[in-house]
Amino acid sequence: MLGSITSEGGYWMKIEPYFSENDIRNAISIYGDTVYKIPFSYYKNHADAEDIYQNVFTKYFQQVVPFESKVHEKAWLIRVTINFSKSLLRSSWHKRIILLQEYHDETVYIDENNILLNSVLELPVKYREVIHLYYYEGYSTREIAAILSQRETTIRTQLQRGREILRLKLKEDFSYE
Amino acid sequence: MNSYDYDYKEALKDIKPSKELNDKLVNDLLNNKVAKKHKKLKSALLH
Repeated sequence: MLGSITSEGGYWMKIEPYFSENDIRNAISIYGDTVYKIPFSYYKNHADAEDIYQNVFTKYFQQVVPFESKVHEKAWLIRVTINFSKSLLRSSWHKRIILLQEYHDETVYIDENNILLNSVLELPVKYREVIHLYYYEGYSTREIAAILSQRETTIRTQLQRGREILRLKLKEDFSYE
Repeated sequence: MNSYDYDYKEALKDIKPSKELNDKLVNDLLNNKVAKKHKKLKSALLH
């Protein structure tokens, strides 16, 4: 079912209104890492990444509109993951939880020795998501612009500013060593 | 970033879903409302 080619040559995510365990595991093995790392880059913790991960795949298996290609399918998943991530970030409930966590200093679940990852995770969200899609997913600025529904010049500026902040931050960290 | 000999991809390599999470997701998807909704739709289409 998943990944089947139709007689017209188009690519369909689902032809039958039902899916098997194999379909789910196949989708997870192809897209799982991508769908997990995006919310992690927003929230810096596994609990929120896990919630969004499950929501995205639930939506994916509710999706019955055909995808034009694998590229289209992956871009759809990334867009939905980003939308879920931003939506949670905006929720008042989550803002209160984050404030409580910061108060108790329990937010960081990652290796503190990983300077680069920590520096990326400290970037403002608009720079962080562009850096992630460019360096981790390997998308071009044009493709990122399409995924985020923004102008390519905006993406290029954000990438440039994000890199500049990282460069200064890493320089600062290394100067202490 | 490359000038610092760090690789963002490498930094993220251990950030991934656990086997337990994937098993739970598979189980939930097979048993939750999504599956039921699709089964209902399939049943309606076939009869």
